[in-house]
Amino acid sequence: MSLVSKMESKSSATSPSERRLHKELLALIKEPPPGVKVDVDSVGKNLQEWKINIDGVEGTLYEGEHFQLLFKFNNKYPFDSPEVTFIGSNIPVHPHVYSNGHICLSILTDDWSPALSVQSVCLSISSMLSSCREKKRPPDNTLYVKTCNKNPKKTKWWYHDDTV
Amino acid sequence: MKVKIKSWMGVATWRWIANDENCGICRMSFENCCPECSLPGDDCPLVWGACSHCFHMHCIVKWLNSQPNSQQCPMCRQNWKFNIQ
Amino acid sequence: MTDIDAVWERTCKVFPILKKTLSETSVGNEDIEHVIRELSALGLCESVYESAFIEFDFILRQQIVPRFWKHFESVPDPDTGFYNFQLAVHELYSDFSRAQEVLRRLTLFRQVCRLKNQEKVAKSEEATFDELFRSVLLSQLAANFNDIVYAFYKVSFRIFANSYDNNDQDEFAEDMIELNCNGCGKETERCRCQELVCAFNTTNKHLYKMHLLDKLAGYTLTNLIQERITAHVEETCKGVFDASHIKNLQKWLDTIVINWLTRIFNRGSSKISEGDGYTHNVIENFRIKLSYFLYETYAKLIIDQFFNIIIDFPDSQLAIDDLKVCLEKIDLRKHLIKTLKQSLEARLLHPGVNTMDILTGYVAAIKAIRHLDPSGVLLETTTEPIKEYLRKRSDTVRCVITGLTEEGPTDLAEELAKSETLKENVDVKGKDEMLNWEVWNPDPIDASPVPRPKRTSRSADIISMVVDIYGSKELFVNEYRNLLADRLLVQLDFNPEKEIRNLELLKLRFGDSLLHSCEVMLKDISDSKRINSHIQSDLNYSNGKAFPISSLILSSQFWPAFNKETLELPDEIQDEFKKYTTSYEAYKGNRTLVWRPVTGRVVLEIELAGRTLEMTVNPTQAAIIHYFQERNEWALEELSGLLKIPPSILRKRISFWQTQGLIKERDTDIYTLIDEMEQSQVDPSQSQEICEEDESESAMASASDQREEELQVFWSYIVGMLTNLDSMPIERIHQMLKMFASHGSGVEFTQEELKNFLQRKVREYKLIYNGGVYHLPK
Repeated sequence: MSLVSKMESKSSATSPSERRLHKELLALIKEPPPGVKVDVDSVGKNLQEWKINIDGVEGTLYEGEHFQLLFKFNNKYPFDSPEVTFIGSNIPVHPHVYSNGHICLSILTDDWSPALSVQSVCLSISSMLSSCREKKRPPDNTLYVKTCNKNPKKTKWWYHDDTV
Repeated sequence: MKVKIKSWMGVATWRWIANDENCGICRMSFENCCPECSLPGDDCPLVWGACSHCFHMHCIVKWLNSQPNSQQCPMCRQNWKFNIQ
Repeated sequence: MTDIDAVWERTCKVFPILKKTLSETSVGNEDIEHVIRELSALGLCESVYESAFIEFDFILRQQIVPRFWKHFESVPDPDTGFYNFQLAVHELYSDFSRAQEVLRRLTLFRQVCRLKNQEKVAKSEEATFDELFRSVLLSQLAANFNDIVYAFYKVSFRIFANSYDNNDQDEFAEDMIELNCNGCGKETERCRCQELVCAFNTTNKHLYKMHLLDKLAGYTLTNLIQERITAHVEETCKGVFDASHIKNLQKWLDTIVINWLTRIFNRGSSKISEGDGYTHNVIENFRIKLSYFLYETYAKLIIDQFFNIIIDFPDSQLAIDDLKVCLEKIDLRKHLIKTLKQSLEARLLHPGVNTMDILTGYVAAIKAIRHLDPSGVLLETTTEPIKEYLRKRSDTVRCVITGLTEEGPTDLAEELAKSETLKENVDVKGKDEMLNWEVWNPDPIDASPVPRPKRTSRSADIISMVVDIYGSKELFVNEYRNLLADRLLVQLDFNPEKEIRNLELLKLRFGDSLLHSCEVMLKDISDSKRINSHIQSDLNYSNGKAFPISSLILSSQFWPAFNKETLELPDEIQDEFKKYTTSYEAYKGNRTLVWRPVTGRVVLEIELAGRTLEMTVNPTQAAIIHYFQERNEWALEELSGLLKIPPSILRKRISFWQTQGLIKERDTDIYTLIDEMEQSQVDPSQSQEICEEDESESAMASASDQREEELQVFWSYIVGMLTNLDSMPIERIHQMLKMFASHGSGVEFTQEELKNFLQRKVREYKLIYNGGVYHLPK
């Protein structure tokens, strides 16, 4: 990074979305909710892509498991929702989570609100996992994974029943 | 002895009468301006919805404009209506 | 008389040296050859030849040399010293000349009888004698010999230099009625310069012929000339910085000094004949050595005066240019750095110099030193102590700001008006370096090898250099903000138009974003005036008020942290503020005011028996005296509870009224209003002064309090990070925090500062340091 661009990134030349992301990052580092850890290294390299580690909650089917989420933000954030997928070697086996990491969760698309945050999305995903009663892939997993767009936000989701 | 106050120059800070400290959209303090503005207060006012949630006017308008189909409060998802006081 | 005796008699006649005398008898060559044949027949050639040299040795030791040195026994005045030397050399020369005849005969002697050892005698008789002559002469060297030689040449040089000066300045000579000749010091009519020059030339000629010039005079000559050079440089160049001297100095050396030397070594003539390579070489060697000496002397003179040159800059540019020329020939860098540092320290860095003057000196030093060394390395090395010193002075930023925004000796305002932004600077510099790679020069070897990330580049402009005192422009602007806040809230002695103009200039310089807060602050002040006048015109408010309130209404997010002092105003006063707030709420809808009762300014009229005091005090003082209006006596505890001020601070605040003579401490922590009889005895003249002094308290949190708060914010990040990542070395922590800070307030700190902070946390058992990494206790 050249000195000039460093100076620019410092000033109000920072975009509104970057400012909000920065505020969220600081809050997340300062008071991380239980079982949620932001990978500070990845964020340090690129404020638009966060890796977040979440732990399976005790007393649920996912207890003892560790998952990694990837958040991608565009410059319309928070007016536009982030792209959120599971990544890494351990994709949770869950009726709303495809084996390619895509998550079927309405707040990530249709029900997105700028009042939501990285933290609240993480907690929603965590509670989605926690409320699961049987570990299995979505019924259309094979077909979806073969045909879907790389970006889960491009999928026209027919939302599964929340009570799974 | 009698003490008479001839004049008093005091110092105060202004604050919005709102039930929250930060704007739920940009996360900035209400006493600060939204990220698009440089001056707080008169130049970057708050607005209230019928649901009683409030935001920087510029933030909520930007949100509503980005939602062609529904006009919901980002906080409570009720239909957004400006509360004209 | 035997034959042998007769032969000896004849031999002694031809070689009187054998009888220990140089007295010549004129003898024809036939006589000499006759004697030689006789000696040859007797087989005595060799022993006679050798005894001749033995006798030479004897005469030299016992007669000639002692006679020569006897001239130097008494310590003479310079005048007789001159003649002494001349006479001594003259005598010596006559002995030397007589010896030459003897030597000639000895040469003949050797050639005629073909002495056996002829092959061994590689040297001529002259050379053998010369060697003997010099070694005996020098072995008996008189203690004060050099002084006499010195005196001799000094007189000569004076006469010589004077004759040059007279030629140069004929027009002046007529104006001056000179009683004494500048050359010989005698009355003008009896000037003996001519005579002295003759004697001088003769003496040098004699010395030259005896091959003694270099041996006897060389060392002293060099000393003398160096001394003359030093004196000449001092006379002509000291304190004169607005002219270049190098050409004149070089000319002076080439004409006066070199010509004089030429005359000495060239037997009185200033023109060396074409074929005389030896003399030519001698003079050329002198010229080179003395040139270096001249440059060194001149350079040292400039260096010694460099502080004055800095102060005179830019009028002293020519002196610096001269120094540059000298430094190209002679490496005096270390001396320069040492001297410069010392003089800056001695002249600037002590409590007797006020900060503005140090700053002025610093700015002048930047300009002058950069003129000398555009690479900036010298500047960096020599001015670091100034920067360090300025950092420790509390009023530095104030002075820089004043310098930047007001006409003054620092020229900073002028520099600011040029209004190049730092950013442009960096940009241009980078491009320049690539475009002008051909003229790139490496840093001098004493440049700091440590790369300097994030710091101002060495060739940055003056304002950057000044701002760099604070390490970064962010820290500088932060200080400016604190200063501005203080001026706006406490001193109230600001001129809004001027502050706005200053801010505009600073914005051009440092960019809008860094100064955004300051802009809002200034706008708050002007908005407050409008709001005030609106509220005053609100009849609901103005009809019911007990006293006039005006207020500064601030945007809390944009001001530096306020101090944490507390104060609860008496109810009846608070009510007035509530009324004001109500009016504000009605005006601004949905907004209200949060008062900071400690800050502000109150004008009181205090009626006492027979007199009325009008005073300007701070709100705490006003509240205290207000309570004494209700009751004559208060216990500290009681008052502390009412005002919500800790007793220790309240005690200090009450002391204000004690110095005013209105309140006394009747008993420990019991305060009483002084009755009105006693009051009249108090001299009220000092009241205003004390009042002002107290007024200078800051409404803002102190810098160290603010710093602590910042560090506490970082602490929560550090805890967050360590929770996430278990353990981290200090470098990582520092890097991360820098990243957070870079998106935030512009707060900066060094790794060293962080280390101290972390170590403190370790001592407080809040952190564990183990194996080079920090982690949280389980």
